[in-house]
Amino acid sequence: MSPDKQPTPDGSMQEIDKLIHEPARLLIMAYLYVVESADFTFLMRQTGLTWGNLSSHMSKLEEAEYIQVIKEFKEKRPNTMLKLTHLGRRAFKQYRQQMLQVLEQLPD
Amino acid sequence: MNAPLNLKELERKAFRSFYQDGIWDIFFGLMMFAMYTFTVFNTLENKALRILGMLFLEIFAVFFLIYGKKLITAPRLGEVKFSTQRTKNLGKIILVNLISLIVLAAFAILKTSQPDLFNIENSELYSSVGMGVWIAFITSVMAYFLDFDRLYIYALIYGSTFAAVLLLDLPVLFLAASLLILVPGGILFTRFLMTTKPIQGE
Repeated sequence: MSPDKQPTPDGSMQEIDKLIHEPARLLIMAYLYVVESADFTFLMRQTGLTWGNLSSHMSKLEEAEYIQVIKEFKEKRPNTMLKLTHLGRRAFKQYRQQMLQVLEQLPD
Repeated sequence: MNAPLNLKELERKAFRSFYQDGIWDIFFGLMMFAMYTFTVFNTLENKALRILGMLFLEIFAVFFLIYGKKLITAPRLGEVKFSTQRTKNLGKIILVNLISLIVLAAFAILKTSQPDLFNIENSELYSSVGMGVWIAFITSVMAYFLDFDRLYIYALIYGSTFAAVLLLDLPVLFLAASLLILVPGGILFTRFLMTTKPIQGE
């Protein structure tokens, strides 16, 4: 699913980015959207996901080039920081707009 | 559905989760305790020694804050770079403290050089209450920029304690106030250590 896709005029659910739509990944994207960057421990604590689960979701988001993994050494210890790429940020913004549009069009 | 509000709340909740370790509370408690040691050492003839005693505690409090966050909190809650607005707020706190110091220094200089200006009825009451209000105000501004709710309570404790000590000449109030901050801080810190273990994964 390309993140560049524009929502259809009727706000169709088919246009929703399914990579972001998964609840765990949506939460990860939301946290990375509101901060500059964060490490695995922070995301685990905030989302309540296990290391393995988080790692698997991260791989998918990295594959889609939504997140950037920055590996660095802090006082001789490896530290992995994660941040949204421009593409990821744009995709998340678009996802929000599309979801708002879809939900607004739901009958009462 | 109010998506922008939820995201703001999400960020705020994440930011405030770093206050659950009690380290800031202990820092402010130690700062107040430093004031108490200064007044206790007041009886010492060696002025340098009483200032050194207070400075030692204040430096210890700063080290506890920096290294506590780095060595205790970060391995447990993780590392995160919050928005640039949050970083800018830290700069504002430094600025507020500098202004506060300048105002207090100007006040002290004025009181020494122009004692006649303060030779009014109830001047001691006014200056004590004024000092208390000023300290409470500055600490409240810090609480606002730090987004740290408990600091508003500490601001009240700080302000009223300073005013009372100046007015009643009861330094033991510094000790009582420091305990009032240190005890809940210590409880939070212990609870944090017991319930939040470092995550091993990388």
